[in-house]
Amino acid sequence: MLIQKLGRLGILVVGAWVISACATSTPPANVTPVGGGVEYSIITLLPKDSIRSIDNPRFLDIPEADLEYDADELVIGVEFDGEARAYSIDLLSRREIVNDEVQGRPIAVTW
Amino acid sequence: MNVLVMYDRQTDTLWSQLIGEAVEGELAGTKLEYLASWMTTWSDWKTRYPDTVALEKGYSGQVDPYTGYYLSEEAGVIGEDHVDDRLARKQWIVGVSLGDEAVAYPFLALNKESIVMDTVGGTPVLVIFDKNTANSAVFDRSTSEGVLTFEIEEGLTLVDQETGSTWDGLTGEAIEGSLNGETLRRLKSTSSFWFGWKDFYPDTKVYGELVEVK
Repeated sequence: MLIQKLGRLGILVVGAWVISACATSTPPANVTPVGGGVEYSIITLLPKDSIRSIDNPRFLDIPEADLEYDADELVIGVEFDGEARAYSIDLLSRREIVNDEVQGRPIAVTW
Repeated sequence: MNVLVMYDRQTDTLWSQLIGEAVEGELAGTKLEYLASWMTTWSDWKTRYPDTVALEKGYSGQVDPYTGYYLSEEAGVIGEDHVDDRLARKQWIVGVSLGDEAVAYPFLALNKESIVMDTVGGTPVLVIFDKNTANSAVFDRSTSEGVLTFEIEEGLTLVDQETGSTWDGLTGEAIEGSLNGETLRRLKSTSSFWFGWKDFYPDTKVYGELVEVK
């Protein structure tokens, strides 16, 4: 049931530091109203690194991963130059960011 | 509006996750390059990529602390900036922002249609949605043979009406026919709660919303 699955999905909108933004009510005609046109303030909820990023990620082959991952567990999947990696959203919900490198390319996987 | 803010250890610059841009500090204004990713189930991912590895968790099963949050009516940690009740706050949408136009495609609408062809900011787009996993992707329908229109052949395999080529809907790759080997340009899209998206894109359209004709 899709609604059941939605109950398990993570969100893009949580964090130790929070941006609060108010869109200007009448943006000037030459300013794009999305993204960079908003004013914002940053509210600190927790000190830096209260949520620790994963910086030296280790990876498991499928048989080992099957011992940790449920079949219906949500993952973020990436594929570069033939190499595929999956990152558990359950774990990302708690750690928010994985600093990784795939095929020589430094990436941040964020939730 | 309740969006994750990151800092880099090299310069202490602050970065907004939703727009992928540095918002305060030495590197303010710098944009990060978005890379293609998919959100799906472990079982679906390892079927598509049989050589994949997975991040070591150090535990089995799922212990997500936000389960209560997803199911609740609460919107973020500081509440919302403005009310826009075209959709319920916690409704999931696929968000696309191109040029000066933003469109939110509700999961509930995509669940019924699986693919949507639309135009956003002047770009002809294809939105594809897997209702079994909530995985989604958005592509530019422009190709070497012009702008294509698609139909579902089976599941998430599509066929275009212009050349009859067959396409993998989630990777955007033509797998058979005269366009075999060509790949549609993937566009940036975000799966988000409605409350977060509409705070960042207050002029967003909502797919499926009836617009008054004057």
